[in-house]
Amino acid sequence: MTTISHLPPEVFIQIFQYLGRNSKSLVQATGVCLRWRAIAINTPYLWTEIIIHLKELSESQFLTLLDILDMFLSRTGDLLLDVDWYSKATADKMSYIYPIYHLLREKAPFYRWKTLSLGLPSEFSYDLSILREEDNFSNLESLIFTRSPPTAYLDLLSGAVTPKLVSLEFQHNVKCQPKHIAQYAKLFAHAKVLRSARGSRLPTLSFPAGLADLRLWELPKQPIPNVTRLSIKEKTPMEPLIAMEYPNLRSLSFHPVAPLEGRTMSLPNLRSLRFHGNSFPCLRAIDAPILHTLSIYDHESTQPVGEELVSALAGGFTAPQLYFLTMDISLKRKVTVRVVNLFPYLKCISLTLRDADEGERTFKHLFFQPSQEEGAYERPCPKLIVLSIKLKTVPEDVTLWKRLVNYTARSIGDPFRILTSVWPAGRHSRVVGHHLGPIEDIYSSYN
Amino acid sequence: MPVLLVTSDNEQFRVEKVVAQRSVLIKNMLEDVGESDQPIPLPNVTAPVLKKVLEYCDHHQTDPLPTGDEPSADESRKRTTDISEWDQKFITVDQEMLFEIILAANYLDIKPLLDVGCKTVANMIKGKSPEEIRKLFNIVNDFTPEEEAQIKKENEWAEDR
Repeated sequence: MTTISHLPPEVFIQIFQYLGRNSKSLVQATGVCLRWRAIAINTPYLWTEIIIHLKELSESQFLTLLDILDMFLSRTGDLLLDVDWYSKATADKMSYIYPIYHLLREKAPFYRWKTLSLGLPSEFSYDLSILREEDNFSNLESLIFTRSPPTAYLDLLSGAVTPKLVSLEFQHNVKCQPKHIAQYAKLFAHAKVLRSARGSRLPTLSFPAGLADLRLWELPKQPIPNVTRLSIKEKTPMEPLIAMEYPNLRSLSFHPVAPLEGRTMSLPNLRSLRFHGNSFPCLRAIDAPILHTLSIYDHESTQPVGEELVSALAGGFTAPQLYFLTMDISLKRKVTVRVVNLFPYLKCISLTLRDADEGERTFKHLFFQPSQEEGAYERPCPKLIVLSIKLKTVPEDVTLWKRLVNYTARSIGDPFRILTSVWPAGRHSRVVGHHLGPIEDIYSSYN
Repeated sequence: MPVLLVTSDNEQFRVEKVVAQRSVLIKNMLEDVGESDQPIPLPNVTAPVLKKVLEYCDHHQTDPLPTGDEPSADESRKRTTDISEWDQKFITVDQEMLFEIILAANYLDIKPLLDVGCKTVANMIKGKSPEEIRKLFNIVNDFTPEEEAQIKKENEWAEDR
């Protein structure tokens, strides 16, 4: 009989990877038997995520922590590390911090750190000069501040050589202290990606020339000439949005409000636009001559949307090359067909709909309308080749929904293939038509 | 053109080339021998397992083939163990068949199927104590008491992070 013991080590390594590096489940797995343990602890990659959680400890507890940390670090070989370093204790309770520094210096010197997530209290004021002399962060690629960093750490990081540091992230409420502007300027020097979450305050620095990906809570207060990808989470009035220039922007995600009449937001290089909210007249200002993907997410409207969306897209919104449209929005009857027919090159559409009834209706509206001749049908949207329908509620009778889509797809005689994929937790079902070949089957996704 | 596969228990399977080529091993063999109606022996796979594997290959025959450019397990920081619903139903088999499928996927070099198998085993392990894992897979505890004590300490530390 074949058992788990017949699996070769390389398969075990893959299984262990799915448990998560240095995860609790992985540690548990090393306690199953000698073979599992040998495979796991001799695979350095499995241990390269280092979590250093500092807290108030007794001396004996601390010595255990040091011992265990030493052992886990020893398993990492000489691979680069992803370090998550945080503390819930205040500095005055951390009388045993220096042995940790010494251990890191010996077993995990800073040049091996690839990412650092730093969540130490800002008053954490230990002298780090012992580390500064020899070590640097030459392989550090990503720095995440989960709290406003302590001065000593900011000095250490900004004083180091960080030629590969391209990604900086300021999580919720992290404030960059103005007095540290020089340190931040050094850290920002090579940044390509910058992210900040709600409540964060960025330093008042010019964005570096190489910055390409900017994900912010608010609209930046400075020009972004080189940025190619911009995402703004907060609702933003059109006036300051239009005032900015976006010469290189290829991807924009925003939630505009307060539309302006007669103004244009020129986006000459924009390929992808994600529009959040229901202030549809804002779309009239968009001039994106090479836009190919438009996604509209309206989770605000309480009633189905109709004319306001069609008129905004028909009057002013300029995207002659639109190819792919995603709409997660409650629409009135037949609005989808009207929207689709506004764009001559539109070939793919992805819709999130309430239920199977709406799914069925929309499917028929798009592909399967009775024509003037009795018994014949026509396609209102003949250019569409890919349809994805995602239902928010699982149909009561999934078999019926399957049969309907299958039958409909066959009836229109198109080379559609119906596929489905699972929506997380199985609460939604999804049917996708692909221009791949004759219909073969249809699978439901539901629980 | 169909391909003839012969299992270790000498059963023959005639399958479409596009289905058989989900296996990189078979794909390479076919490329090596060129157009031929010679049967391909698969000495490490039995008929019931190959039948199951071919069911997977048939269902996924139009999926894009892995190019090798995808982030590997080594590169991806957070590995998801989500499995699509069809795959989940497919892999809901007894333990013996599960491990046979994994071994076959490994031998035949069908990476997506191997992933499904490994994720399934990982999901079975997650959240369980070493003792529960041993019981689930019928594994003998071969640690010395000293090793057990050390492992207990590690587990406590992992628990406490």
